[in-house]
Order: sequence, then structure tokens, then C-alpha cells
Amino acid sequence: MTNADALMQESPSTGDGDALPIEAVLDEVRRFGSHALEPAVARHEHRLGPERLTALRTTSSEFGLLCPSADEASGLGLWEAVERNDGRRLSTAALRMLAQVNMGFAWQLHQFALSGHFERHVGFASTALNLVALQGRYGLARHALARYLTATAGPDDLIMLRDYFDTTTAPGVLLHAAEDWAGVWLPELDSASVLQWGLWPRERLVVETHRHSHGLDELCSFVVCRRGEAQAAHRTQLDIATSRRLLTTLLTLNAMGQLATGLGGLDHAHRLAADYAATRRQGGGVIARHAAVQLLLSRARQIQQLTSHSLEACCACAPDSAQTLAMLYQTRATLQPELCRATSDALQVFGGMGYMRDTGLEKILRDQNTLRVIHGTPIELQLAATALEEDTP
Amino acid sequence: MTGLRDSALPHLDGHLASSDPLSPFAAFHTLGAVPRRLVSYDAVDQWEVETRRLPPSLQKLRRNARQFAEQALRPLALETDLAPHAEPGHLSPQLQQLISRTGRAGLLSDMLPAPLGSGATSRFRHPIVLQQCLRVEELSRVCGGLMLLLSANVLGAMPILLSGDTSAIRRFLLPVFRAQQRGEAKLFAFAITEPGAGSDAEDGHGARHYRPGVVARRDTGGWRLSGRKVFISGGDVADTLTVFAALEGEGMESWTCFVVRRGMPGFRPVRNELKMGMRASTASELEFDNVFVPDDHIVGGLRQGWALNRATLNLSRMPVGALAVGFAQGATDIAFDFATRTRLGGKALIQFQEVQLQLAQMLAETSTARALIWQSANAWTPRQATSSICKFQATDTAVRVADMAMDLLGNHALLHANGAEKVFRDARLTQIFEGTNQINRLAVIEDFQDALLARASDPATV
Repeated sequence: MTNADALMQESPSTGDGDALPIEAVLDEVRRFGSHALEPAVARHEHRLGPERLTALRTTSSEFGLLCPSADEASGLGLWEAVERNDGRRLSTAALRMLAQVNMGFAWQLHQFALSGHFERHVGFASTALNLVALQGRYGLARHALARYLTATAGPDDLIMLRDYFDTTTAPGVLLHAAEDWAGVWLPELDSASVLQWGLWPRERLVVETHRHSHGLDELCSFVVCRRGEAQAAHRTQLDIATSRRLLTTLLTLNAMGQLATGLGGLDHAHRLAADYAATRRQGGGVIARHAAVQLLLSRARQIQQLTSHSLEACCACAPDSAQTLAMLYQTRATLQPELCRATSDALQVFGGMGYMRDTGLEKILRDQNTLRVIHGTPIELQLAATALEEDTP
Repeated sequence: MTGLRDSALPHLDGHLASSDPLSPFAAFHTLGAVPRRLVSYDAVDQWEVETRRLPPSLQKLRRNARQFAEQALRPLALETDLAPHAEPGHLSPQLQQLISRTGRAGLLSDMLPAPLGSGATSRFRHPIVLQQCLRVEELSRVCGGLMLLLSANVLGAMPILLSGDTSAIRRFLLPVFRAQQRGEAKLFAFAITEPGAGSDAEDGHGARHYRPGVVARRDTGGWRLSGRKVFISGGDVADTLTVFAALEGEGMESWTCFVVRRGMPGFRPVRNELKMGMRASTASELEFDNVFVPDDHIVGGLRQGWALNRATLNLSRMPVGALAVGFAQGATDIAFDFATRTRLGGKALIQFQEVQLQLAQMLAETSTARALIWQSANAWTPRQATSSICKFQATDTAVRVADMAMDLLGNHALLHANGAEKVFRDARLTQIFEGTNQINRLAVIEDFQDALLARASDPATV
């Protein structure tokens, strides 16, 4: 555990009323991780199949990590108490902990929990596993999405956004999720240029499933388009201010989840590499004594600490603010590639073994790459952050 | 395409059409004949520009290699990458056909000129390593795994060639070359790495402390090999393997190169590794259980193995750099293709400035690495430092450019069919094999050791 983790858990929540029992919840998560999740993924070269994934998710719902429906929210599940500083810290710490065992499991839980937050926010009661699509056809629509959030979008930006969120024609949007999702909330600009959301049951969509994706092997990629004349099962009727605030919050929490999951993955990679370096002998001694290996492992520690501190700082900020989102985007633009490089360094410690699937490092690296390129790559994040900062006092 | 200027001429956003009077390219045409030769503009891509700089025989080699890669490797690349890992010793019919086709095209046996090998005589005015670099880049640009399946053959044959032993060349190299040209799916493999050895086999300092894993025990008329080799590219499907083993009771300085044939009693491929990438080529664990190898299957003499190994690595690390350049080029090509066919907000991505900046950077990184390889490989006696610099510099570049391609494709990079993620997985191996990039950096210092020590002991430098 880093110093930042300790601070994260010991510091009192600010302005949140009674503090949440973070440590107790995290103890449960830790137990789940070591007793249920870890045995299921112990063979790195074997993909965690959909049935096992569902069973594990059900277990995590039973102890309250993933809220099964809006009226059962305890405030202690993932992305439930998002208005509270300690609620956000709880969610990121839990995701990090799960990702220390398996990033794919952590990520799908994050996605469903985020959708749960969305449905609670728009007052939609559902027990189905829905997703919320936060990314359009490509990137972050350059500056257009950011300008929509800061109420500075011009006509060109709106044209861009309409195309960005267009799911009426191929290729539609790309989702990377667990196989058993029931429906997806797709965003769309209404006639007044307000971003609304429509719930599209899976059977009303054309869904192309891609089982061979770069990383997060537990999940699949889906290319999704609307089916002919089919209609959404439900539509939001948000005013523009609420629409902006909701999308800002969703993007912010999503970025926090990405960093927390990436950080957990790096924790895992570093632990594996450090353990290996302490026992592997070469050139007459254990390789942990070699400067080349020390430099590789040290980089992982640096990035762990940087990401942990940055995440903590972001958690302390209001999630519905464009400033927070800009801060998170800049942070992701810097740290997401570093999480990849540091994981790659951990792989390098293993030499040839690191390239083999049974050591697990190559999977973590592919998972890190996946988190780097979804929901905005570093350059797209920089453009979006710049647009958010331009228009934020 | 549309642009900033209201012009009917085709141009990208932010740029003038090349025929616009204010474009430098149009302006060049107004210059006289002599200055025009100094500033000429031709609407060809970077690959063509660089190919034209080569001597004619090497231009032909490069063009043929690209054509072969596109025709023979491209149709198999994605499918082979997804295929389940093969059982040891098993080659799919598709891969057998590919090896046959490659052999018939003369691309497995062209490290010697005809009639000994299949190389065009005119090419041999230029170093063999440069020829290998040009070819391997084109193959890896299309598929790393298939490239490795075909190119590990050169590595396996290299110790025999480098031994200068005409008898060994005549007995082991030439018959296989002839069989390859007839279309028989026969390959060489190079076996140095042992369980728990890793870079010890590639670094003198590590080797000093290493206890050899494959040992040769004297027997009447030959030697008996026992032990295991791991991570041997194509080791399970090769017909002829150059296997390095220490003599019983001696250390790594006794390493000797033995020719082991597939089918020799006691030799058995045990398993193939499950790898991140390069999946068309196997990384095999090989068992040697008291394998009898006759005396005349020793290459270069007893205790010459370490020298042959290091010499082979000196020659092979530049082609590893070259294959990494192929990955960088492959990633760049994928990114260009995606940027020209993907539209957002009514425009192709290539119209956006940030996309143009990324693509230019990818081109620059790739060309820089290629320039290093071409310059370094244009020598008949490459030294260790140069080879190692090529290896780690180009392989680090390849992974960086593959990262950039994935970034440019964004979440679409995750889809296998788009190819970018495969390039990353394939390229990542190049930072590890043929000595990790850390070992290769240290090899540079080792090569300059005497000069550095002399400098350190010179009072004038204190």
C-alpha cells in the first residue's frame, strides 16, 4: 500500500456528513478479490468465460458492490455516493483493488455501476444490465463535445456532434463490455440540440460481436447500430443544463474508473515483476540486484505513486464540473501512456517469459493499452481538455 | 477533399494543392533546369522515394520482397494469428504451402549467390546483412509471425555459413537450399536459449556464471547431447538445427555448435509456448535425451560455439532492427489507411491537423530507424556495438510507432481486423529476443571497453 492509499483511507471526508465505512467495504472487496476472483483467474493464459464472469458479478452484487436496482442502493456500492468525496474515493479504491486481481472484471463492474448511476439520476428503475455509451464514432469529437459541455458549441460543433453520436448508419459505436448486457443507453442530440439518451434493448440493435479484441479478454467488442425503424424503449427528457451536468459527471466518473483500473493493473504487474526479480538468478546473483532491473521496477513505483496522488486529487473535486473533467483528461493524457510503459517495463523484467501468456504480464499490458485508447486517446484528451479549459473560468 | 481555400483542386485542409501557384511544388516548375533538379518534387510516397536511393539490384530485391509479402503473406496474416497454437512439430497445410512457395521463390536460400544458393549474383556486391535487412523489413511489415517462421531459417543456417567450413556448408547447407528451391518445406533453426538462462546465452558476463543446461558427453565416434532448449523459433518444425552445447565438465567457454537433424533418436519437441504475438511462428521447448551426434556434425570445431554464437548475433541483430522497422512501417501504413477512409463530421480524419501531426511523426520515426539500419548494414563486418544499437534503437522505435498507430485508431485499434493491435503484439517481442534491449545496451559498452579503459587510465583525462 502506498502513502497515498493510507492518506486516502485515513483522511476524514470533507463536508460529506457522516463518513462512509470505507475500510469495512474495502475489507469485503479484498476478501472477494482473494477468495473468489483470484482463484478464477489464476491461470493467466485461460480466458475468464462469460458464465464465470456473471457468477462472480452476482457474488459482488450480493455484498453490495454492484447495486442490482435503484431502490436497493446502499450508498456503499460502486458509483453510488458520487456526490460525496469519500463515496468517489471508495469507488476508485474498490476498482483499484479488483483490478489488482483482474482488470477485465473491474472494468465491466465499473461500466454496469456507471450505468446504474445514470439510471438513478434520470429516475429510470431497471434491474436489467444496461450499458451507457459514452463514446461516439471516433475519439472525443475533437473539441465539439467539450464545447457542448461548456455551452460554447457553435454550429460546426453541433454538426460534428450529430455525426459523432450517429448510430443510424454503420459503423455506429463501439462498445467493449461483458457479453451479457441487455440494452444500451445511446446519446443523441434532439431537435433543440440537447443531448438526450435513449434506452435501446439489444434486440432492437444490429450488434456485431468481436471476440478477438486487443485486451480485457473477459469482455468482447461490439459494433452497435440501430435496427431499421426500431425505436428506443425509453427516452430522457432532460433540460440542457441537466444534460450537460449529467454528461460531465458520467465522463468524469468514467475517467476516474479508467485511472483506478489502470493503477490496479500496474500494482499487479509490479508485484509479479518484483517477486520474479527477487528469485530469478542471472550473472551470479538475483536480478533484483541489477541496476537494469531496478530501473525498470523503479519506474513502475513512480507511476503508481503519481497515479495514486492524481486520482486522490481528482476524487476531491466536484464530478459535475468542467474543470474537474479537464483536470482528469489532462491527467489521463499524461498517465495512461505511462501506465502502459511502466507495465511494459514490468514485462521486460521477465525477459522472454514475459512474452508468454502464462506469466500474466502480457495480458496486463494489453489491458493497459485498451484503457489507453478507449474514451479518448492522449491527443484527443489534450484537445478536449484544452477546449474545456478555454471556456472555464 | 475540401480545404481552407475555395479551390476545385484537390488538397488537404491547411495545405495548398500542389498545382496552386503559391505551392512550392508548382513554383519549382518555374525554375531553370539545374535548380529544378535540386528541388524536384514527385508525387510518390516515402517508400518509393527511399527505394529509388538504393542500387538497382537492391531496389529489385526490395520490390520483389514487397510483392511477395503482399501476395503470399497478407492473405494468411490475420487468420494465422487467430489460429490455436499448433501442437509441437505440426505445421498446418497453409503454412507448409507458404514455406514451399517461399522456397521456390528462392527466398529461403538466397544468403548465397547462385548456383550455391538462390541469390542474384549482382546483389553480392552488397553485404549479405543489408540484403537480409531489406527483405525482412518487407515481410514483417505484413506479418511478424509469418516473417519469423520464414526468417528464423536464416538464423539457423548462419553458424554453418560463418564457420567458413566448406565441408559443413557442402553437407548441411547446400542440400537444404536445393530442397527448399524444389519447394520442400525444410527449415533451419538456431537453438541457444536454455531454461533459466535467458540473456546469459547472449552476454559474456552472464555466461561466466551460468551452468550450461545442454551438455555434450563424449561417445565413440561422436557426442551425446542431453538437456533442454527453450523459446526456439521454429525449433519444432525445423529439419536442421544448430544446437549449442557445453562439453561435459566444462563451462560456457566449451560451447560447441552441433548440427541436429529432426528424427535423430532422443530429440523431441516438447511443447510450444502460448505467446502474446508472432503467433504464426512457434517458440518451442526442445528435449535432448542422450541424442547421438556424430563428430562430423560439429560446426567450426570443438569449443568454437561461443564465438559462432556471438558472431551470429552480431549479424542477426541488424536484421532484427530491420524487422522492427517493418513493424513501424506496417503500423504507419495502417494508420494512414485508417485516416484516409474514416470520416468524422463529414471529413476524412486526415484533414485534421492533429492527425497529420501524428502521421508525420510516425513517418519520421520509421524513416530515421531505417536510415540507421541501412547505413549500419552496409558493411561486410558489422561490429557488436553497431548491431546492438540497431537492435535496441529500432525495436524501441517500432513499439513506440505501434503505440502511436493504436492511438490514432483510438478504440477502433482494439479490433483484430484493423491490424494495429497485432503489430503491437508482434513488435513487443523484438525488445526481448536476440538479447533484451538492456543486454544490447550493455553490449555497446562491452564493445568499446578497451577504448574506454584506455581513456580512463590516461592521466590527461583525469
